[in-house]
Amino acid sequence: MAEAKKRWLKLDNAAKIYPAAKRRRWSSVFRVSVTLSEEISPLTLKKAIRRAAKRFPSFFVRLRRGMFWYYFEEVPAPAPEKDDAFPCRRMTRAELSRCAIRILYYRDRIAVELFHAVTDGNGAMIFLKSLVAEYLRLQYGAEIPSEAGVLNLNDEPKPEELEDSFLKNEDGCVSAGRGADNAFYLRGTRFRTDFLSLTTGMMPVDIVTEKAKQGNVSVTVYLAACLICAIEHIQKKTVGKRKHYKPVKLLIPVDLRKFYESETLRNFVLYITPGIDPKSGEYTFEETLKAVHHQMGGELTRQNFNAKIRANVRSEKAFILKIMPLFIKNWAMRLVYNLVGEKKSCLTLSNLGPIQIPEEMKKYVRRFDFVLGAQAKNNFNCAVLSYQGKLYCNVTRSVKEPLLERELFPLLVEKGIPVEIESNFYQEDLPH
Amino acid sequence: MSYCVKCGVKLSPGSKSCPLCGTAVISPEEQETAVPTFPRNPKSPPGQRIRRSTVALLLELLLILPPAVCLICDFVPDRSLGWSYIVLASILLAGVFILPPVWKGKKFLPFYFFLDFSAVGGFLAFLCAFTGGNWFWESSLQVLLLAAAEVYIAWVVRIKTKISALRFAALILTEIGFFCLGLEILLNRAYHFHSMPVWSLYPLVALSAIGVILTVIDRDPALKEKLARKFFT
Ligand SMILES: [Zn+2]
Repeated sequence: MAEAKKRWLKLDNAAKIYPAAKRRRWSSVFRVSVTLSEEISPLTLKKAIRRAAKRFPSFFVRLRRGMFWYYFEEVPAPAPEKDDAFPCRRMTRAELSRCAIRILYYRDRIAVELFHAVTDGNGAMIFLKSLVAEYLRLQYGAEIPSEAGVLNLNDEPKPEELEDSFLKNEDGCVSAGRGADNAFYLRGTRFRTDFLSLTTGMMPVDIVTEKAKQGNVSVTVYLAACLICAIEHIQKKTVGKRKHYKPVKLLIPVDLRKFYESETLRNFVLYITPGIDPKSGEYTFEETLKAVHHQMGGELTRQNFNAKIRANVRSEKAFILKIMPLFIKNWAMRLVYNLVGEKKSCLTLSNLGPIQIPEEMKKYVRRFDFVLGAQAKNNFNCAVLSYQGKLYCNVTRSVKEPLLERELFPLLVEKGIPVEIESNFYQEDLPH
Repeated sequence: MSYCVKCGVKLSPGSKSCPLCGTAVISPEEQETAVPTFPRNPKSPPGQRIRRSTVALLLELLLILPPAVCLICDFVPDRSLGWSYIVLASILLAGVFILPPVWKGKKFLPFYFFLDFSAVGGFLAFLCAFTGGNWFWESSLQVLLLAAAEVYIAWVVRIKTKISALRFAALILTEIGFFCLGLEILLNRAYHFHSMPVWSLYPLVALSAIGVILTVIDRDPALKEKLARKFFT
């Protein structure tokens, strides 16, 4: 490939924080994976990746430093690698300057791990589905139509898929503030390496939906309330007096594609932070459910999003920021991230919802997973999706103690939801 | 299929213990069918790390190299040692600064603090004696003690109080201002330049003013948010 022909992309508005805030413990990597019914053939996978790279140019990029901003530059598709002992291994600066995407395989599973600045969970899922459809076509000669989020690899990439939807949808008029109290912090003993423990809770979707319906809320709200109750229980056990209690809040990304009918394959989410403040008094589960439902209902409006997008975009357009050299901007952003970044919430809960795929694919595909990597400070994260009647709740942690898992899953069992547990953490691997 | 008796969750076939609470599974029947969710990679178990003592030893060996070369260079031409003492002392100083933290970690911070300042004092006293002057006892020692006191104050404040980052920055700036003032007073006393402080008043006033501004910003969460937003692109 000639040097001059390489395409390059500006980082989208939401993505800018990721390169600046990254460091040893945190590189904001997330992962989507699919489990098929048979062992993966690396050769076929390699071919499928090469085909997909043409359709998804914004995914096969490397991070480069400019004078004033980071930017992405296209790279040739990487070969698939064997899966590591744990998900979402951090991407070092050296790795990011080679390629910001990783495609991994292990037994019957294909996983895509991405630097978060490239895209968000929904964008990654469209990529994964299209990649797997192509893999199935090549491996089994399956005829899979391009529908239900599977893109036709013979098409040219559309300009609207590469657009920064934040810039396009700036039409509000008020700036939304980011002020709030710091949230309760889940402590723990960090693993000595970058190891990330993944515990998956699998439960029947229909029972969870039924429980959510009984409370007149959505599945996301129901799970959020369960998480908040679990965290509140931990706070109750570890913090003495109620007046020292901190708010228990979650960071929940909302996919804006539906709100704005955007087709972008880059970052297009905003965050809301529902939660409770137990300082003033105890919350029952029902009260928590109601509180979260109310807060999410109130925040999930187009007007609210307009305001938030405007606040984001306006600060990007500030003249002084445009001309400030990158290293100073990085320093300032890192400082601000340390001051306010993650402290406003206990952890992230991201729900991709039910995964739809073309009918013809279903007999090959057993399972989907969505996993969030570790954060700089917050020790736990939770990512959810459902497929074929099963809900997969992936809790990741960068500390030894399964604090959250130990509260959350038994709580779900107590609510009458049968939970099956799977984990990549073996106590005996820890040095004593 | 086995269930955890404590948590009530179903466990994947072949599990020996519950991943949530660690309770052992009483009858793990399907041992053979257990498939780990991830390859159990012996190369990266959760808790392996380069040993500190190895790093310390390597650094020590690296530090020995330059003085050895210097000693040879200094000794060979005239069969006596001269300037290489300074090199030796500098390397020793660097060793005192680098090796203990690398070797023992953050646990003994107060001890390192004491050790480092004593080492700098010793180094300066040696230089003073070597060059045949008296400047160390006249002024440097006092300046060093002043610096040590200020670093100690900042360190105690940082550890013992939950001071915010902005207020801490304000404290550091103010301390630098006062250090300038102290420096000038000490130099004036030793060498009689002026009877009153002259140049140090400028940094003192400027840095204290910035300190006050930072403290005021810190008091207003809304303003802090606004400034944060300006940088948060
Ligand atoms: Zn258990």
